[in-house]
Amino acid sequence: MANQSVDTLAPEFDERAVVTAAQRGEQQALSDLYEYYFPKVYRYVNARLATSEDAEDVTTEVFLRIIDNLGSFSFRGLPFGAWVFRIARNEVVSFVRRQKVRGVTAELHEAIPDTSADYALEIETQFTIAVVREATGKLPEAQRQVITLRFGAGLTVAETARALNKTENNVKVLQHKAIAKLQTLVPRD
Amino acid sequence: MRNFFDPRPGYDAAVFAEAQALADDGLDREFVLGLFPDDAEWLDGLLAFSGGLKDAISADPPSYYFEASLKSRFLAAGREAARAPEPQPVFPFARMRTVAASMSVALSAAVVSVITLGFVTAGSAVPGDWNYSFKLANERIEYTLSRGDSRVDVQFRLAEARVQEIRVLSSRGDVSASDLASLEREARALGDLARTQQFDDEQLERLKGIANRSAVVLNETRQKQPGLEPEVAAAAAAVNSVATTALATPPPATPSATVTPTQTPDATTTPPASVTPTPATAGTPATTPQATPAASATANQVVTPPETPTATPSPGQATPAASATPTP
Repeated sequence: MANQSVDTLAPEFDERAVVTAAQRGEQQALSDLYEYYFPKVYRYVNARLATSEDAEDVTTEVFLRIIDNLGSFSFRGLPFGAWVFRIARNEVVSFVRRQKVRGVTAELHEAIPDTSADYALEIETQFTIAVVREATGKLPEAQRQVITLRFGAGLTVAETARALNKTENNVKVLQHKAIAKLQTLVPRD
Repeated sequence: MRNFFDPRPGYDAAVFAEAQALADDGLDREFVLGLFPDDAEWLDGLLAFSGGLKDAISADPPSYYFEASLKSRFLAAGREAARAPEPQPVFPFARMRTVAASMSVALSAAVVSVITLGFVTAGSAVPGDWNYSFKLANERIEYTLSRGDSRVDVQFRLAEARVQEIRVLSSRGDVSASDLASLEREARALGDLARTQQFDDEQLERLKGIANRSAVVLNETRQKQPGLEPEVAAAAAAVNSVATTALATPPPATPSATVTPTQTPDATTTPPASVTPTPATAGTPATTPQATPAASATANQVVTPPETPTATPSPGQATPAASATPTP
C-alpha cells in the first residue's frame, strides 16, 4: 500500500487506468490528467522561471511534449507523475539554457499601477513571488529542484525523490538545507 | 553498502520533513508544533517560512484563459495522436535482412582478401597449392596483354615456370601426368614462336637453360616415378623439338662443325658429350637406356652449336652440365 502511494502521484484516481485510457485517446481521461497535473506543473515551472509569460510558454511545451510521448510511456519504468515532472524539469532546463544563449536577462515583475480595488494586495503578492524567485535562483540546482517540486508543484518527499531520481533521505536533507538557506536570503518583515 | 551512499538525514532534517509533511496534509501549524514540543522553537521558523513560500508561489496562478486554451490544445493533440495511424509493425525479417546484409559485406571483404592474397602469394605456387589457379590466371592475363618480343619473353617465363614446378614436385615425388603435359604444352608454344621469329642470343641462352634444366628434372622424375615414362618422354621430346627448331637456324656461325660428337650412349665417359646426361645416366645407365639417349640428344643439340665464343671451348659446354650435376 505504501509502495503504491509512492508509485503514483495521483491517488485521487486510478492513475494506471486513466493513463491507459488517455493513450487510447479518450478525452475524459486526457482531461482528468490535465486537470490533475496542470496546476502542479504550472506552479513548479512558475517558481523556476522569471516571469509568468515564460512559465506559460514552458508549461505549454511541457503538455505538448507529454501528449506527443504519451503513446510511448509504459509503467515499467517511472511512475507517470515522475515522468511528467521529468519532462517539466527538462523543459525548464532547456528554456533557461536557451535564454542564456540569447543573452536575455530575466526581468522581475514590476508592479504595474492599477486602478482596481485590490491594487495594494496584488503589489505585495507580486513582490513576494519575485523575491522567492530571486532567492531560489541563488540556491544550488539540486536544492532549487527540491524546493520547486515540494512547494511549487506540491509533491511529497517520496514523489519528489521519484521525480528527481534521488532517495527520500537525500530529498529531506536538501529540503532542510534549502529552507534554512532561503530564510537568510529572503528578507522578512 | 546502500546506507553508505544514502546516509540518514540529520535529526533536524528528519524532524522538519515530518513536520512539513503534516503541514502539507493541511494540519494547523500550531497543532504540528505541539507534536514536536522539544523542537517547536526552531521548527516554527522553518514551517512559517515554507508556508509563506508555498503561498507566494500559489498566489501567482495561471490565467484562466491560458489554462483553458492549453487544455483545448492538449485535448485536440490527444485526439490527433489517437487518430494517427498505428506505427507500421517492423518487418519480421528486418533483423535477418540486416544480418544477411552485414554477412554479405563481410563475405565480400573476405573474398577480396583471399583473391588479393592469392595473387600476391601465387608466384611460387606449384600444382596442388590453393593459390596455383591464381598463378595460372596471372600468367594468362600476362600472356594476353603481351605482344611481339614481350610475348616471347612471357612464353619463356611460362616454360621456365613449368620446369621449376616439376623440379619442386619431383623432389617430393609428386609429379603428375598433367604437370608434364603442361611443360609439353608450353614447350610447344615456345616452338611455335621459334618458327615464326628469330630468337636473339639472349633468348637462345634462355632456351638452352630451359633445355638443360628440363633434362635434369625429367631424368630425376623418370627415376623417382617410372610410371610416368611416356609423359616424361613426350615432354622431353617437346623441349628437344623446340631447341632443335630454334638452334637449327643459328645466326652467322663461326667454326660451326667443331663439335659433332654425338656419341650419346657412353656419355658418362667422354668429356664433351658426357656433360649433359649427368646424374641419371651416370647413376643408372642400365635402368633407363631408352631415356638416356633422348636426354643426351637434347643436351647434344643444345650444346652442339658452336655459336658464341664462350661455347667454343669444351669447358664452356661443360658448364651447364656441371651446374646440372650437383642439383640432385
